[in-house]
Amino acid sequence: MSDLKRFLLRRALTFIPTVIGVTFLVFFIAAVLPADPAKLWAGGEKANPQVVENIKREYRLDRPIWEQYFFFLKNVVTNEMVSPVSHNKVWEDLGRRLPVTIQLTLLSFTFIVSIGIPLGILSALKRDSVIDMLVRILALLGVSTPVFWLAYLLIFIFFTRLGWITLAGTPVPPYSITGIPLIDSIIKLDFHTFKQVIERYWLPSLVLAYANIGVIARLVRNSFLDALSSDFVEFIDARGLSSRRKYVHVLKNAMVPVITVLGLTFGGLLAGAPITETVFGLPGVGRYLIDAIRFYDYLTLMGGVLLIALIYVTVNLLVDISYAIIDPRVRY
Amino acid sequence: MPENCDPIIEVRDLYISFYTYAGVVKAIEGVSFTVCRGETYCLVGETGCGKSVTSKALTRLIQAPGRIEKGRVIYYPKPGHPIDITSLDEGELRKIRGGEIAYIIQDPSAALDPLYTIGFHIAETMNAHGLVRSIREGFREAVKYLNKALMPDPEERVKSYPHELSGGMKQRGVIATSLSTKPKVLVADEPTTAVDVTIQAQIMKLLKELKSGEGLTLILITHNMGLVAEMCDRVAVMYAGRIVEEGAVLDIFKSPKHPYTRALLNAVINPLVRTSKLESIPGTVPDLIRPPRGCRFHPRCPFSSEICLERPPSFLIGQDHKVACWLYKDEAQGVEG
Amino acid sequence: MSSEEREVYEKKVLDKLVDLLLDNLTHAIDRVRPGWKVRNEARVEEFKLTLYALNRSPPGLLGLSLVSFFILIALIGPYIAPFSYDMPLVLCDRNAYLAPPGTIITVKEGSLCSEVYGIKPGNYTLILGADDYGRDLFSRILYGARTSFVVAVLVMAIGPLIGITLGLISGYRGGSVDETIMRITDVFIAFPGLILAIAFSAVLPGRVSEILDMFPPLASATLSLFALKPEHVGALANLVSVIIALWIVWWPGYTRIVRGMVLSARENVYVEAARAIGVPTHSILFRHILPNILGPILVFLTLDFGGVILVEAGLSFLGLGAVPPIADWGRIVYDGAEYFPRAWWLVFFPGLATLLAVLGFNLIGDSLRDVLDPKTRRRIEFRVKGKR
Repeated sequence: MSDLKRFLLRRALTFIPTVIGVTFLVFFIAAVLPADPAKLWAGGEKANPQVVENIKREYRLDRPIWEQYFFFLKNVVTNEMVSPVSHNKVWEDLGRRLPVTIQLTLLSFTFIVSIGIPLGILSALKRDSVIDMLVRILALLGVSTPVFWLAYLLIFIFFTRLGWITLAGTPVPPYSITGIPLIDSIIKLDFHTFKQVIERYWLPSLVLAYANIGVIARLVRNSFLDALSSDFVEFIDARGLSSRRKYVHVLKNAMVPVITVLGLTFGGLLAGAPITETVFGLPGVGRYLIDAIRFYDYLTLMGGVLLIALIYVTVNLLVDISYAIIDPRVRY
Repeated sequence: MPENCDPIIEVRDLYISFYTYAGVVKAIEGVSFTVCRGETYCLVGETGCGKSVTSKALTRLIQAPGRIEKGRVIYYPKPGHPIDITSLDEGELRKIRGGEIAYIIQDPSAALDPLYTIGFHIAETMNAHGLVRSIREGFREAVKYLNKALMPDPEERVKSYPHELSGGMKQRGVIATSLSTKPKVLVADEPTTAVDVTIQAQIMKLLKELKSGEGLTLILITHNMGLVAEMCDRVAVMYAGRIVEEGAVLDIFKSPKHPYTRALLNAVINPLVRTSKLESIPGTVPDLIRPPRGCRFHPRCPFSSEICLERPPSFLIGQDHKVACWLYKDEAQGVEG
Repeated sequence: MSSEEREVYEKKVLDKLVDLLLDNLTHAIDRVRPGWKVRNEARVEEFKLTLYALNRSPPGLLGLSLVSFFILIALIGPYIAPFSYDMPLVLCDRNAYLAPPGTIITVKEGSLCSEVYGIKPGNYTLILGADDYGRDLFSRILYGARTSFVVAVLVMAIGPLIGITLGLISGYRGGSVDETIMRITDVFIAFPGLILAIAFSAVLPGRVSEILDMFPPLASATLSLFALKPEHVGALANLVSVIIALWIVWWPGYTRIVRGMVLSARENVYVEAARAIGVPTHSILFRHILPNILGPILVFLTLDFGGVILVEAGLSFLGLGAVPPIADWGRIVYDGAEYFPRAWWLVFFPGLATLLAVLGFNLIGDSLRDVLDPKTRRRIEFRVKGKR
């Protein structure tokens, strides 16, 4: 296992420069802004020059760029970043919206894994059958369908016509353990809240998952077939192992590339959140970012982008670690 | 067949085809032979002559698009107790595969699942054949077999993943895995092609020792004439999906009969005969989708005549020496097939 | 391929078209660079075979026709549209307000519409309906094809180019150059693409409009590319910002892929041989490595072309990028969503148009991948050659 430890250490070491790079790039977002956003924050063209000056000083907009960066970094780390528009701490505002996005992506991810992987295996086992073709079509349609369009279509069916879903409010239980109702209700075995959460989130999650289900199924299929045709499978037969054992080997090998892509998929889910949250009226981080843009609240925009990037980078770190646990070859 | 032969495997009139997009490849046509208990039987021929396919057919390892069209494979676990492998159900077949007839596959680096340790491979195989009750128990046993396969440092290597081992060590791991079920027959398909020349000699020495030590019957598939001379008791020379000549190793090397065998021996350094110059065989291996009529060698054969358009039977031309060529029609002591 | 083997091809009309095009093209190149035809014969034949194979794949053909139709509409759409993209038909007929598909409106003689906007008096059918200004949805979708297409072409012309170049350099040079490029790429890949694109499309318009103000010819050229009226020059900055934002997002993937491919191509014996006999670096890169990784790159480019259209529609659906009155598929949905589900057509048709255009590229990409994959290639070759 020392190989694994060495791999983890090395992986952690590349994690740090990436995070620093991420803060640079997020800071660069603001640097692109023309002239000074202070005027916008103070109320537009007719703003009081004194107020504009104050805002400039408060946000170090009059200082050299590197000083601005360190000011930004310090505020990010010490939770001192205050939005000039809402006058709230940016992290706290975002923190309030985070559970919604996490529930949405988690549920979506569950859909992808629990539908995509079995579908892919089925498609590989029944190669060139109707199921195989349907999976191919699903994958193609998945990557071609505009999410907002699908969302409105389903809203029309399930909300307007059938009235099965609601588009308002988000269930919050009276207690809080992790702050995420979905997980809390599972821990507390609170079936009522769990049901409420699922009822509110299943359709948005499915919409968000839809683009990826077919892609993952297709990937699982190809990688399953690849594994099935490798030479070690022949030796498994020659050793007289049962077909159940054979499929255990094949499946484990097939999962190696799938895990990496599942990590990337998580990024796709986070990226898709703004659209899904907007259509379904979910007050999550993505929707909040879009609102922040509308109010020229660039600090919140930067905070939100940073938050999402950090989540994504961390998820990929976890993916790489699980990858190394499954496949001993990558530990080198 | 030698006079005192106690058959362990009998192949009778085997036909195998591959159904590819390009057409039906008639890979094996009418192959028959008998392997005697305790001997080393060799299948030799060029790449694509069907020797590997034949060896796989022994336990019906042929995968789609390949299909055994016709023929029987009989296995005698004990003298006089024939089992028809071609009509066994999957469960019984699986007991024989790996358990009674074990394989060493050509490329050791591809034979092992990269995600599992050597020890796991051995333990899993033993467990599948009911020799150990758990994988954990199998792991302990594994060291014994790695030791037997002369794996250096077996206590450590049992925990190694395939990618951590050299080609030679991987092949020893494969051999240990195959031996772990105490099989009666070991089919070694080009066991040294994928390893270094220096390792080749070691592996062959190991196989020789194991054969005498464990009382194995060895079926060796190779294109290396040097190996044949060194290892085999009897040889079958294959060409384009048929056995063209079969006999004791000395007969084949000293007095090859079939024009193909002679050409083959002229093309390589014959360890038993002094050769001044190596010759190549003119022409190319036939396309098995549309194989030549009659004798499949006749388009390349310098002695071919009208009669070669008819398929030659196996002429018995001496004690245990058979050749499928019309040239020997007159001196034949008998005819088979 | 010998001439006999070619006899067994069951030639299709499309195959003949391929022959005609490629034969003339190679001939033309041969004129400019004598000897080219002979040297590249095998490559051209291989390419022809690829196209023949594509001609026999029904999904590929469907994709090809969808994409050709999309490109055709993008080119001629603005000229065949019954109305201009910003024509508020409510001024002509109050029935045009959120008119459902098939509504017939009347333009009266001497009305504001015919006098000021020059619309001929008479009856018009709004086949796909109209929005809250009474703008004809059919016309706006035709114009929207232009917007999508131009954005996609501009993004795909630059983003992947940066990515591929960096990938080639990174993979071939190795060492600290490789390390630097890869660390930078890591940073960009650390962001889910759309999120970074959202951020940059939000902050860029200010700077972009400064630049457009500075270079009026640039602004007017961009205007005509998008088939926009001169008075809408103010709406351009946001649209251009999306293009720049997508450049920022769309290169790192290519860098990674190309670097990986170069690394494995470098191991090839022919590359080693070329290096051993002293072929210069740039020549190895462009003569020996690039042609061999072109196939997979082509697949990615095709798929990404659809990807850009989809992402651009997504961004404008979020209110970024195209701003009114520019006709843009995502934006039409964004503006029309307010009236959903009553005016369902404002959501349904632009979304469907996006779906079909993107599907076309994905179908081609998918078939191309099959054709170029060595695992399936031979099977397809046999099918093309019509052998049994």
